[in-house]
Amino acid sequence: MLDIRGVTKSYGTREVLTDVSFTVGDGCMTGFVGANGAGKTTTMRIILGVLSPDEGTVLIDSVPVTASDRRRFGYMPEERGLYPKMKVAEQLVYLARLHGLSPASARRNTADLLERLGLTERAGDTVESLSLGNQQRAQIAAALVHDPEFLVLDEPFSGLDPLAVEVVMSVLAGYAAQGAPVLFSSHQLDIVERLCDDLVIIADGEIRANGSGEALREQHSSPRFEIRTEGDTGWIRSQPGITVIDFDGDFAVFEAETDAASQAVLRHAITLGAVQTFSQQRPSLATIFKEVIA
Amino acid sequence: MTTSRATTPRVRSAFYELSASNARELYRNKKGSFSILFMFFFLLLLIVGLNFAVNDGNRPEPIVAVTGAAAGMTPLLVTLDSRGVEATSARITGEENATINVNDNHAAVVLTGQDPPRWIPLVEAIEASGIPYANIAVQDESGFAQVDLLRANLPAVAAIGFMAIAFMGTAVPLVSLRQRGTLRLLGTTPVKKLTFIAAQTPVRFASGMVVALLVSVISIAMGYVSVVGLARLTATFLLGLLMFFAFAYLLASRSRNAELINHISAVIPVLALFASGEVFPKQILPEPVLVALNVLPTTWFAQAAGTDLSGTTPFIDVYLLWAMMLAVTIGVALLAARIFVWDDRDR
Repeated sequence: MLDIRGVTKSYGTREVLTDVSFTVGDGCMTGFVGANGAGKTTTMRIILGVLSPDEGTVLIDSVPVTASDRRRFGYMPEERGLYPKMKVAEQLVYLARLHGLSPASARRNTADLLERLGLTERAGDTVESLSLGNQQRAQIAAALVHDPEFLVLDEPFSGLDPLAVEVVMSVLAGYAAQGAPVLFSSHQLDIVERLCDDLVIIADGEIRANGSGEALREQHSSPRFEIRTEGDTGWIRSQPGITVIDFDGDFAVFEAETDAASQAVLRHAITLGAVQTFSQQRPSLATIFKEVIA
Repeated sequence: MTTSRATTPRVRSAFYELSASNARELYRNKKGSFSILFMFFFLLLLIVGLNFAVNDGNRPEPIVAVTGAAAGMTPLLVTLDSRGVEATSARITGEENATINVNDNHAAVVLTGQDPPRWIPLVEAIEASGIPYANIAVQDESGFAQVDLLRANLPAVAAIGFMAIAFMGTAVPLVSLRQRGTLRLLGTTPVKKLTFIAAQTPVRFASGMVVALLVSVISIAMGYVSVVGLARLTATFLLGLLMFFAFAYLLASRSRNAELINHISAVIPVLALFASGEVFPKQILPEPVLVALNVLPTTWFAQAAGTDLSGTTPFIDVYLLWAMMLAVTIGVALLAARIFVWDDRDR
């Protein structure tokens, strides 16, 4: 488990991270969301030990991260940085070797990843000759090729087409399923919503929200319900403790002052006929994000 | 997830991988590879051409009258004769176009007549007769000193070649890697900074050896350098090359602006050349300027190389120059490794 505790970082007089704390559990996909300049990349670089925090610490299973732990991480930087004129497979083997793998293991891992990421046919092409999407896949392979125990990925989905997104999601999910903590940042909130177990929202260098997707939805859910029945729903307006927000014949959206008030609406609707749907409205990640960074 | 966990990285292995990768990258980058040796070959060909045009082309063969002390004259006349140069011990024909006055292990060559002869063979013969190059002066009838442009400028050409390899061929690509984010990626591997920096050297060092070898071959072929001198020159080249690499690493240790470093790399060799005392004769420079220039490490290299290539006298002993170059190399290399950043945001 990765544990980030009270991390503070300043550049000159500008504090870019303030008391940042969160955890990335084993086998847990954690989305790291924030606007540009919010502090995501700085946090990730501190996690890797490439950058030192002014205060705070990063722990792996309760032990502070040291330089020698770097090989345990798979990191994909936002600024890509593969050698443009080097062939894809050669580049992956090279990076794996720098991480300490034997030549045979490096070649085996490279072939395996290229297969899983759909790049086998491009193995002999130079990086600069690949499409942007394939360059991105190669970059992801570079982060994974030394078989890391932890993944820290900065915008791994940017520039990927929907098909490639699915492929990469599947590869990352495979890592998490085998117990690796996976932290990734993304501006594509729909992907984060689909893929993540946990979510960390950062703004202006401070963690604004942190927890499982379910917990965050619960925390930020409004007392708003929607109902669809076979008949007219106009009667809801006269119910005590209820304010109708939207109404369209057999469909209504309303806010209930108490749980009892909302349940009373449901009970009354059943007495009038079949109820097709009745549910509490769940906020989307985008809604939560907008709400917490506002 | 695959099954091969990373083992403890071996420094030698990482060094090998990085060195091999650097070599391949340099090979792939044809333009870059060409540019790092271009300056050397361009200058060398320019100097050779100029030297031929100024001192050799279309000049008549020398007819020499040798004067002075008998002890010096006799071996010189023998040497001139063995080299096919027409020479007499007195002005008896009136057809001579050069005179050589030998005295006290010094020789003064004066080119006479409307059409001065090829004189470089005369200097070679005088040297072969046992008079050191530094004790030989050549001038025309009006007293204008004649210079063997190739011999005088070989140290500078070697220095330019080394500096081009170090600065344009090493510092600029390193900063480009940082600018492109490659260093950021490599910075997340267990590779140590010193290992990474050191691994940039082998392939470039080989290029430097090409320069050193060519200059050495020319020096031997032209008779500029003795066997002892060649050994000393080789040591000077090795130390100089390493010193220039150290400065290149220092230059590249923090910047992420490859264009700026490219401009600086283009200017440094020229500045260093003019400051080395090999372009402007030391005699015309004021004493305070000479003292200031002698503080520059590039001057140390040029003067140490000039001792064996051009027969010039350095401002201090060559071995002291070596010690100073070595000390600076170690100090600057360690400083470069210490302040080197994978990414400028790491500062």
